[in-house]
Amino acid sequence: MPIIVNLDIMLARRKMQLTELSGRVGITMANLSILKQSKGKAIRFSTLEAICRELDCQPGDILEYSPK
Amino acid sequence: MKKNGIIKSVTGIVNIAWYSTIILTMVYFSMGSLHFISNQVDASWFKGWEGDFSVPFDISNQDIKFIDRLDKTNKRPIETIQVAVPFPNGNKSLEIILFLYRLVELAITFVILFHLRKITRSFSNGSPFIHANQKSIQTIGYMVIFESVFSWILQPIIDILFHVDFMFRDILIAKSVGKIELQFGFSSLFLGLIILVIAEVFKQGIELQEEKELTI
Repeated sequence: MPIIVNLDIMLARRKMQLTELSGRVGITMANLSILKQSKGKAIRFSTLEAICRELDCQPGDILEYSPK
Repeated sequence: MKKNGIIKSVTGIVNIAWYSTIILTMVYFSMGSLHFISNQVDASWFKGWEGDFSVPFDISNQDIKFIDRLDKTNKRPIETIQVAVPFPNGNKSLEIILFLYRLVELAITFVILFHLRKITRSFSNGSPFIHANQKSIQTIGYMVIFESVFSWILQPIIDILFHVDFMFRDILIAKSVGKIELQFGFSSLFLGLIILVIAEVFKQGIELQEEKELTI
């Protein structure tokens, strides 16, 4: 998929664990792992909003388009 | 997933069919294979004929023996006539072809029942919306189509090879091999096509479910 999820980079920048984000956002670890590994097929705006709020970033910081 | 009544019944029927097919196959092969053809057959298509009738083909060549004739004193329409249709002596090729036909039909039955069992088992193992089930339904569809097409192919071969009279063919082939009939399986063909369409719908359903599950 040409959309890459840079969630791990943002987590490293904010020095936050995936478990902590999971607790704050209210998404299961399993789903966050799917998102982190770019295996997900879609992301809800509400989820994106919650992640951006907790990581204090823009959607563009998490999602990246790569044509290859 | 909790089993409901229909699933339980279907599972039961499929299991019974599976085990009875295995038992019948074992019985069939243990009884000796090539003697099934000289069965007594039901010529019920004579129904309604009255009086002194003539059969529309030369029965002397085909060695038909009428076991039960119409009672001439009692002029009721004939309900059924039992006729024995042994093949002409020495014609083993036709017997072998029909034996192979039976084997293929048996193999198709086993494949269909095997996949049906796989599908019914998936109901108790969780969600039936998995790719394996879609493949199973597709295989069943292909098998049903193959069964009908196979009859279409085999029928003219038998006719050409053995010069079986067209009128006589129905009784000789279709009735003499017992349950399994060589027939123009239009209904089987359409059934197979419907099953293939259902498999495709199932595939789309699985993709929708996956998309829903992977939406975060």
